Amino acid sequence: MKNILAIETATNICSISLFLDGSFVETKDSDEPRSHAVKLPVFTDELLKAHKCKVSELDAIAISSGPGSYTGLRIGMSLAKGLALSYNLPLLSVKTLLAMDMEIDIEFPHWVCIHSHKNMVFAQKFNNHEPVNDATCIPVENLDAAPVFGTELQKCNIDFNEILPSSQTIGRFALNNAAALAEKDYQKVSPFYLTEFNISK
Amino acid sequence: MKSGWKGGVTSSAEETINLGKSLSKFIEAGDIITLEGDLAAGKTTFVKGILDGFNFDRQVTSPTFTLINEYEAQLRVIHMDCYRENDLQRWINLGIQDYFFSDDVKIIEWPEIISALIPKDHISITLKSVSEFERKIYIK
Repeated sequence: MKNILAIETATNICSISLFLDGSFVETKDSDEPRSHAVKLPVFTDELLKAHKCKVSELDAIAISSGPGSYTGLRIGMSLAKGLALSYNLPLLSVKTLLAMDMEIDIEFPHWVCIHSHKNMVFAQKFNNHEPVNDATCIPVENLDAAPVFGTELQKCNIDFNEILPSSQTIGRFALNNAAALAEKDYQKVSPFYLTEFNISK
Repeated sequence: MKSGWKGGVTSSAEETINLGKSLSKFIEAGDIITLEGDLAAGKTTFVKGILDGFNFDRQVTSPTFTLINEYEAQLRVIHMDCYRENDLQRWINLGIQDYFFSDDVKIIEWPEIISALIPKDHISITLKSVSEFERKIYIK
């Protein structure tokens, strides 16, 4: 797989990247909150036209699967599935925290986090790019002393190093793991919400 | 929400708006406020007052048909009306969780219809008719 479109909409960042012949070409992104539904289709169209690439010439669609914003994930996943379905392309679904960890170059345990709400964070601990635990949604005070990397954590009053989710990283991870990730049974690919809505009767 | 708002009894739409305006001084970012009251109890009028308090000078209408109205006021206000939609899954699909998780102020009319979805730490306000023209508006 060499030509892929990679989509990242798990947070306020709306980002799409094109890879051709296995190499990164361009990213279009915006951090305007709640603009994914408006911007993502336009970015896609502009990106493909700018590089004279048709959807039919793509080999796969890579998508950041979460955890993250419920609405953001659904918008990204809807576009990814729509494009994939139109030309029977495989989907490459990449866990958002796993991709973010690719950007962190330290060799000791650390947390990768995305702010969820109030004092809650989506969090996963990694060591040498291997997950130490499953992704979870926990109060920020439950993080241990390991350094924290992540985004939108200002509200939690903790020290952290900013790492932004990026479609470029999603694309790179997808290209490196394409054989394992490729899925054409689209029903098996869904957003990784982590905080499923609890209906209390 | 900051404590101290006492509620009151109103006998006209103007008084209901003024009471809503007084409540706005106590509302904080992220608050979830439910409004319970019969049809024509003055819920949307009360919301107009809250938005007036947030210096929103444009039209405020009932979200009965739109389900959700969003207002870019001093604080961003999300006004929901659950009267005609009792399908909880549809509210979930609309992204109600993102609203609840956000710093926006959420004001929900007919909350009893989606009570299973509303976080427990919300502020519940009741509008009760006490005579033909009078409404008692108070925190439950």
